[in-house]
Order: sequence, then C-alpha cells, then structure tokens
Amino acid sequence: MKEARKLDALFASPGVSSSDPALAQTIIDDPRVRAAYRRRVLVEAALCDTGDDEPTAFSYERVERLVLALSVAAPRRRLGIRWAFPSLAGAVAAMALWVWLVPAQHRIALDPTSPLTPVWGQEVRPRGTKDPSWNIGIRVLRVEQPGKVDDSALGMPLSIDDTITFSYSAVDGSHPYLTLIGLQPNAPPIWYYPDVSDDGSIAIKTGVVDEPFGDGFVLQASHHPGPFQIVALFGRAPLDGSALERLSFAELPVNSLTEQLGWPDVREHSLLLNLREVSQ
Amino acid sequence: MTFLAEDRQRLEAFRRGDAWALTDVYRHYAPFVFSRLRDGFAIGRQGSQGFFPGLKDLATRENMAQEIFVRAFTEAARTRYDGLRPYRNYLGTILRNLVIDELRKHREFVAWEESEAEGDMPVGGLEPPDAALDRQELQKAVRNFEATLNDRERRILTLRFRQGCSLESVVKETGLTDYRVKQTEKAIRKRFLAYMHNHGFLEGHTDGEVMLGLGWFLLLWGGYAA
Repeated sequence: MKEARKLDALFASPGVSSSDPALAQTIIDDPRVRAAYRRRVLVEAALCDTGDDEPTAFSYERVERLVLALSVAAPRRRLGIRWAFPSLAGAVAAMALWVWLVPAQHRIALDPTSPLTPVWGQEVRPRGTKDPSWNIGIRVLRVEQPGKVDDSALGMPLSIDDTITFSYSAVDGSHPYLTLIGLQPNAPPIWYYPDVSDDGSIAIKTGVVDEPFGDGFVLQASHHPGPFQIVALFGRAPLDGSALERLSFAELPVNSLTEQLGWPDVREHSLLLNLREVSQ
Repeated sequence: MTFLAEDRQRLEAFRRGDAWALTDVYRHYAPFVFSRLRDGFAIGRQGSQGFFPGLKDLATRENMAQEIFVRAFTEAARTRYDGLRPYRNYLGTILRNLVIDELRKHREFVAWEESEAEGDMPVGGLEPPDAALDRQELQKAVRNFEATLNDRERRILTLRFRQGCSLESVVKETGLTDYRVKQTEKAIRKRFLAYMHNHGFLEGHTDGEVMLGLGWFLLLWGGYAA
C-alpha cells in the first residue's frame, strides 16, 4: 500500500509541519488506510507506554497536522504581535527578549545579496584512493554580513556563530541524487540535504558546476565546537536515510563512509573542518 | 468570556480561516474533543435516549477528532459561529452530529432502536479491533527495540515519549539543542517503525477492513445498550 510510506512519515516526523492533504483525506475515506493508521497508533502507544485511554505524546500534534492540511491551503505562521504594547520601548525590549530566548533555526533562507567566502577543509579521501572524484563535489561557503567582508575573511576557520551554505558540482549525469550531512563526534548526523523530514536523498541537477543550493545553515542551532566533517554522497538512486541516521562516531575523520555502509556505487566527497568557539 | 470571544483579533482571523487562528483553536479545544470521544455522552433522538459510550480505541478517536475539526474548520462552519456563545458548545454540537452521522451510516443503529431489548447487547469495555495484535508480543518487541537505543536516545524516550515533556523542557533538562532533541526524537520514531515493520507488527499483520468493520459493529452494538 503506497500510503503506508506516507503514514510512516506522518508518524516519524516530530513537530508540527505541513502534511499531505491527500493523505489526510484518505485517512477519512479509506478503511484500509485507517486500519494501517490504527496499527501505527497501537505500536506507538506501546512505545510511549500509555494506556488505551490516553493519547500518546504525539496524538494531538499528529491530528493537528492532518486537520490543518485539509483546512488551510498553505499553513502559515502567525505574523505580528497580538497585544498592544504600552510603548515603543516595551516593544523593543520584547523583541530583544524574543531574539535572546528563541533558539536559532537550523536552516534559513539566504539573502542573495550576502557575500560568500569559501571555507577550506581537509579533504578526507576513501582509503586506497589517490585522486578525488573530479566529476562530483561540494563547496562550503561562509555567509558574511553585507559590507563587512574584506580580504581578511578569506581563509578564516569556521566558528560556531557562523552561517554556512553549500554549492555542488555534478558534471556527468551518472549520480543524480545527493545526500549531504555533517558529522560530529558521538552525535547523530546533522542533515542538510535532504531536510531531516525527507527521505534519503534529493534529486540534483546534473551537468552543473558550483551550483548554489541557496539555503543558509546556522551552525549554532545544530552544531558544537570541535571537529566537524561534511560528507556529500552522490548516488545513482536515492540513498537509505535510515542507515545514515544510525551513524555515530567517537572520532573524526571518518574515512570512506560508503565503504562502511557497503555502498560501492555511491561517490563521496568529504571535508574535515574544525569549528571554533566564537569568532575572534 | 470564551477562548474565541475574548480575543476579537483571533476571532476575526478564525472566521477568515487564517492558519494561526485555526492552530490556536485546535490546540485549545483538542483535549476537550478527545476526552468527549473517550468518555461518551448521552444522545437524545426523536424522543428516545441513547448513550454513546465513547471510543476506547485511540486510533478511532484520532480519526474522529480529525473529522470533527475538519468539519468545524470549513468556511460555512466558521462563519456560522457568532463569537458570542461558548465555542466549546458549538464544537460539542458538531461532535455530536458527526457521531450521529457515523451511527446512521451503519444499519446497526436502526436495528438497535427497533429491538430495545435491554441486556441483549454487550456494554462498554470494547476491545480495540486490533486486539489480535498481541500485547505481550508487542511489549516484548518494544523492550527489544529499547535495548538498541543509546543512553541519549533512552533519555529522550523517557522524557519526551513517556513523560510527555515539552520540547523546551527536554532541551532544558538534557542540555541538548532544540535541533538535536528533534533529530533524536525523529530518529527513534523512524527506527521504531522500521523495527515494527521488520518484526511483522505493521503491514500484512491483520486484515484491516474486516477488523475495522468489526470495530464499528462492536462500537455501535455496545453504544446503544446503555
């Protein structure tokens, strides 16, 4: 049943985000899908150790996603502030508090006018190989403040308060799928592409060189200072994201992830960097 | 004052169908809807009294709650609400009507109205239709899955999944970043589903249509025995 995979995504994704309206409608209309839904609720309740009478920790948010998928065309965040502040000073103070309290987002839309400077890392090549895979690769770029960049920024190591972005090259058409993750010691992978809620890989353009992705990644939202390895995996088909999610390494660099995963057809480009505490 | 009536901006946004207002309303009233569906309520219909005993099966409650809110959030239903009377009552009426509609779809309702023989029907304590999914086996599988988790994942499982702690409090408790907690939570959920698939607890385990039909039959049968 093709809906099974969509249901798995619904049950696996934390937080409230947009959901598939077609799936939400199918749950209402199709008894087979309801039955599949029910089994997932039952096993989730067992995992959460809740009795039959109580919703699990995820019941409310799951139903919320389904309801909103059918009730609004494009779920939007609330804009503006509901309460009238007594003074401009109060509003400014509240905004400052908001910025201070709310954790930074992992992925942000990139201002196209932001200057970018390349970040050079040590290339980690698969064991036994002398030459890199020339036809594929990624580049790491630091997002600079407009007007703040000068030559001194070139070659500066990355800091935890930096924002980065990526570009990629895929010269021939043999590997049209990309998975891009970050590794840090004793931690699960940090997902750049696809997003954590997607499956395995994203489809990329082929026959391109230094193609920008257009997203920024705020390092302090999801990274720690210290060794940091960025791994790009180019596949002939979408990769198994769950195999990557299970990865955790005590030490970096990791040589040849593809070899460890038994993925001989996948091409890898890996860069080792070090994240400093804060910019100096 | 009621939740919607106390905030005119929220009410107007709700009537327009703005996503943030629908989200606010859902979050405020979801516990009410879930508990009504669980606990049941009396239904008066054409002079006769019935009792909807509530849905013991969580999945059916979730499905019904989804339908109730989707119905309540249609443009017609939103604009019909005047913002003066408690929205809870308005939503309660939609809930009640949906339950009656569902019962009407099934002939068992009529059959029971016609027979009214008290004591003929089983009352309450409905076993979920997937009772065939052996609880002991399931609990054993959960324990085995839990053994595959590392310390951090086990901590997140306890705090987030079992104690129902908010994301913010888990962040505070563990010292992990918001992103890391979400990522770990997602990894646990995804791996758990894969584990359950691999161990035969999900697709292909029971005949869903037959079991679902049986579930409704039992529900209706028990529902009007009171």
